[in-house]
Amino acid sequence: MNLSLHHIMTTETKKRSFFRSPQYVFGFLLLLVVPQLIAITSEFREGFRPFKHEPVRVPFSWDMFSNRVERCALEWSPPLKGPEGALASLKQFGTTLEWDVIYDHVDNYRAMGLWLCGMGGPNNGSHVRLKCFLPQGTRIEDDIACR
Amino acid sequence: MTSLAVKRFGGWVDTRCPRASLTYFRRAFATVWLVYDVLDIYFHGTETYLWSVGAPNLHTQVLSTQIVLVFCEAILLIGWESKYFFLLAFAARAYEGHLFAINDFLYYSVVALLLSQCDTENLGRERNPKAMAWPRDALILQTAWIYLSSAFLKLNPAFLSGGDLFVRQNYMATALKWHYPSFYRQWISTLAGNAVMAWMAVVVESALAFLLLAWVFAPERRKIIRPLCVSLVLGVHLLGALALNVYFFGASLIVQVFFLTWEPQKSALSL
Repeated sequence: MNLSLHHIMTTETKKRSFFRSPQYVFGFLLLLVVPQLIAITSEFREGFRPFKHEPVRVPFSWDMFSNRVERCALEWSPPLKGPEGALASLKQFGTTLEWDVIYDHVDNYRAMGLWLCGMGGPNNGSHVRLKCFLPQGTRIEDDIACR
Repeated sequence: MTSLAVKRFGGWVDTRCPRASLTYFRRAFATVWLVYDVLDIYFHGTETYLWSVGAPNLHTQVLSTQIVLVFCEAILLIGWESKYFFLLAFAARAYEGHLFAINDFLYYSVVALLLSQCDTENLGRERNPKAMAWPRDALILQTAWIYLSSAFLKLNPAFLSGGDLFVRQNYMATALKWHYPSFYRQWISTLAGNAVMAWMAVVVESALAFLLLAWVFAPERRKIIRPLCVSLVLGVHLLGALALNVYFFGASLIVQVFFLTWEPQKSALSL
C-alpha cells in the first residue's frame, strides 16, 4: 500500500516537473509561435505589401478588417414565398446582431440572390435588388429579374 | 551568451504570479463564450454561415461541437479540472475553426490552449495562491501580437483610404437598418471621415500592442501602463460593438486585457 502510494507520488512529481520544465515550455511556445510566423509570412507570399496591396484571409495572421471587402443589402421584390413564410431580404437568414449573413464580393450576393429566386418557383415575377458598397467609396444598385 | 539566455529563460519559467488574475480571467472567458455558444446554437449562427457559403450539410458535426463547448465552458465557469477542460475546449473550437476559419474561433483556440497551462483553481483554499507566471505572460504577449499583426495588416490602401469602414458601416446602415446618430451617419458617408477612423484604429491597435509588451518587459511601470491598456481596449472594442456589430470577440479581449494585467496587492481572495 505504502509502496504503491510512493510510486504514485513519485510518478506525479516527475510528471509535474516535466510540465514545468524549461524544455517543455520552450516546445509549447514554439508550437504557438511557428504557425503564426508562417501565417504572417504567407500574407507576403499571397501579395500583401504595406501601403500598396491588401492582404488575403490567412488563418492565424490576425487579419481582422484588413481584407478588401464589398457588401450589399439584398432584397427580393415582391418577396419570395419560402417554406417558412415570405422572404424579403437576405437579412432574414441570420440575426441582426453578430450572426448576420455576409459575403465579400458583389458577385456572391448576386449569385445568392438569383439562386434563392428558385424558392419562389420559375418565373415568379420577383426581382433581386442589390444596394452595394465598394471600398472605392462608391455605391452601386442593381435590379435583376428572377429567372 | 547562449547559457545566459537559457538561464534567464529558466528563471522566467520558475517565476510565480498571483493566481487571482488568472482565476478571474478563466471565469470571464468562460462566461463570454458560454453566452456566445448558447446563442449560436439557438440562432443557428455558425450553421447558417456554413449553409450560406455552400458547405455540405454539417448539422451534426457543428451541433455536437457546440454542445461540447457549452459543456466545457459551464465546467470552466465552476472551475473543476480546468486544465483538461481547456484542452477539450481547445480541440473542439479548433475543429469548429477548421470547418469555418473565422478569427474569433482561431483566437479562442489559441487562448484556450494557453489557459490549459495555467493554475486557475483553489483560489480561496490557499493562503497566498500563486501560479506559474509564464502562461500569463505568454497570454499577454499573444494579445500584443494579435493587435500588432492586426494593425500591421491594416496598412493597406483599402483600409487606410477609409474604404473598408465605408463599406462595413454603410452596409450596416442600409441592410441592417443600424441606428447610427445622424452626425455619425453623415461622417461615415464619406471616405475622408472613414479614413480618419481607419488611421486612428491603426494607431490605437499599435499603441495597445506596445503597451502590452511594455507591461511584460517593464514591470516597474505596470501601475501606469495598465490604465492606458484598459482605456484603449475598451475604446477599440466598444466602438467595434456599437459601430461594426462585433460583440463577443471584443468582449473576450476586454476581459483578457483587464484581468491579465491586474495584479492584486493582497492575493488571498476568497471567492
